[in-house]
Amino acid sequence: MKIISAILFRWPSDEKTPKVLAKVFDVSSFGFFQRSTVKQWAVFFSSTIIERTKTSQRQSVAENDYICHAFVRYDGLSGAAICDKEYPSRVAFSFVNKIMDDFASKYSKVWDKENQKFDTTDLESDLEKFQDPKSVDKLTKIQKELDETKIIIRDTIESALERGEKLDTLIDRSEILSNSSKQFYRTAKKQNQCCIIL
Amino acid sequence: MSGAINLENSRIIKDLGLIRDEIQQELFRILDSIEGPKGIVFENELMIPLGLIAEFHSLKERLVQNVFSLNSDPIRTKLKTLIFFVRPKMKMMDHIAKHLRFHDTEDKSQKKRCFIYFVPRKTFICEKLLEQAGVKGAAVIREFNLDLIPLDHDVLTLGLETSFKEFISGDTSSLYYVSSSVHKLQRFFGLIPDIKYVGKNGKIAGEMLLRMRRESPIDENIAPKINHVIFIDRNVDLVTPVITQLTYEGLIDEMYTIKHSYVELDGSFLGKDNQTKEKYALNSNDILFEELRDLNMGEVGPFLSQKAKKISQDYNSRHDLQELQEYKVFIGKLPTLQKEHFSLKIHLSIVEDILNKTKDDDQFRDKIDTEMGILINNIQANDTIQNMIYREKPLEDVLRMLCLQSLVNNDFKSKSFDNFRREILETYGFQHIFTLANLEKIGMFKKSEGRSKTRFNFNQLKKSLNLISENFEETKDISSVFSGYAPITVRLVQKAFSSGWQGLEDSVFRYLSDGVFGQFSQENDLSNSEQSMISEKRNVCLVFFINGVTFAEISALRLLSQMQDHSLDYIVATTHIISGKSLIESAYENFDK
Repeated sequence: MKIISAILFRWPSDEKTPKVLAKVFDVSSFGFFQRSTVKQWAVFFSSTIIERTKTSQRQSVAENDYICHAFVRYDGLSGAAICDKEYPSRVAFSFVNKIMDDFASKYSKVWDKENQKFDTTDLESDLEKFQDPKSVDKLTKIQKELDETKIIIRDTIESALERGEKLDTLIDRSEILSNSSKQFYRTAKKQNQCCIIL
Repeated sequence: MSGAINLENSRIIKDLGLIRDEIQQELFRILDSIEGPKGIVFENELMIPLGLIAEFHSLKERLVQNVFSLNSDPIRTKLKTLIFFVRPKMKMMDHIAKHLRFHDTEDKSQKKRCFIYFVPRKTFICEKLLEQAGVKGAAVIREFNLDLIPLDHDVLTLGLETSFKEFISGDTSSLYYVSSSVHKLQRFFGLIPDIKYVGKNGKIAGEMLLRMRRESPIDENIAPKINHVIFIDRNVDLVTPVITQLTYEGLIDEMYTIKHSYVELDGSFLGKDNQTKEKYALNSNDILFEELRDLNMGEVGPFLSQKAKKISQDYNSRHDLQELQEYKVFIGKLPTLQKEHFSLKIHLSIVEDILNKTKDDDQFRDKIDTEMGILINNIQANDTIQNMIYREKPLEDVLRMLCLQSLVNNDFKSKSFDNFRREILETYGFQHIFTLANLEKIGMFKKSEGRSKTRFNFNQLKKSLNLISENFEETKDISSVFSGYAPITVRLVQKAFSSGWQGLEDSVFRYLSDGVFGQFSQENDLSNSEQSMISEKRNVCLVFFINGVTFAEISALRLLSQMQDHSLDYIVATTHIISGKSLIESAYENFDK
């Protein structure tokens, strides 16, 4: 599962089209000569989807093998991440949220003003981190730990139950016991008047 | 000792643990008051009881470096301080005198400090004996007030293993401890409003208790936690102890001997490889044992089988666990399941062992058939007993059968009596002249003196107390403890709280050899069921067996308590726990030095 691109836009309500604020790509999975084309396609795809996303709304749109996860915030700051089909959408959106929050807090007064060149190093590192959703996403992380814990517990229980005599043997022994002892400790119903036992 | 019963939130009287705590505090106080590293010397009878009171590590904390057993060999030790814990018995004085003389002959710099603590109190005779041996000044003499020790939530014992023997020789000094121990219970749990008794010694104990109350009154404003006490003299029912017990716990006692709730088992029963014996505690700490102990032996197998399947089922539920919450619940149950699993193995091993031993020995089957024959049909088992003697079966077994027949069939005809007497002396030794004399003295094996002389009439009691009840499986009657015979003592208790004892003078008490009975009560004489309807709590009755109780009788009381219209909980107190074997052995005379 991969993230191909992460692009931040500025799209205040009074403007017609969103404007790119910053963009980062991971096109390492594509052939060398395709890469620039892919980048262009990513920008185009992302801005189209953003344009068609209402304010304070999220959506995910698929094209061929890729999905664009887009979010338009109330104040016009928007983010779009293009991922492959495997990448979990929940993680994609938390990625988009994160880069948007970080960007907003870093450039809080500035991003909605005139176009500038923004430093993309943070974006780059986030993109890299999020390429492995399992390690970043808290929820996935917890689920993974839960599953591992369950396995450990299961193994511990198994080994604890290994100790002590096998229950099956005990069940068999108790069956035999049950049958042979039931009548043994009772006297015969009819007792002879004069018992001579030699 | 590890394995002592856990009395936290005790089942019948919640704070029962207080009596054990008090004894423990007293013991610690004694040890703390004596400075320096010390050694303790116990007589054998006190070893386990004291072990039930305090664990060894808490003794070590109080600088007890070594524990010795008191016998005729002097103890060689470098320890400067020795503390003796002994019962006030003549033989013990002998041993102590030897020790004190041995240590006295040594160098003054090696002088040892010796303390003698009499348990539960010193007697004039013992002090005199020490004086005569010339050692009285060599030791400090004090008392350690150990009386009732809890063996379980509902069993208390004084640990006076020689009580029955003393009774045979006419010594009634243990009665003082019976009454004073009940008086002490009143200090913890309130004045007991209703005192009943049956048997001569029971009456004496009841009267002594009243006198003690007058001399050191108990605050009457505490609501009593014990509502009734019944003193029962062993002498009232000598039939029950000689019959083979057929409850799980009773049969274990018959086959292995349970000492203060500990039994010695083969290491393999407990899952160990070694062949050595291991001590195992049989009490309510073992949840499985708690459910097994009172069952008739025939029900034990099916119960274990059911239990094994249930544990297996519970274990297998682990394959269906999904949510973490479900795992949590399962793991919470796991320790209990594991304990039951371990316990299951032990009890299966015990039951198999008992079954093997009793099946191999064809005599066992004959024994219980003969006993039942005597009880139900008054058969004359002379030939069977004759056979037992010819095959040199253990003397206790022979004497039990003889006593059973003698008591139930109203003694022996002169000719058979003399015959058996001779056979026994010739086969088992002439020292048993004393044994037979003792048994005759207490009426267990004697010649018939004509019908008018012998009071004890088992056949009448059979009718009036409904002693034989063979379909106990359906009715859940207390007679399951002997596969069809209900103990006389427990029927008496049953009657006390169902129809009452008044009016049974002619049908019951007249036919007991010791038929003295009565009651000392405070005015408020509501019947038991009325009282419990008012309070909603079940009333508690302390049944004190003077001179011995068997496990079968204790089980019968527990079963009685569970019966439908019976709303009482029973706590059993006794001078000591007995079995048929130990009862007969009490009649032997000791000739060793």
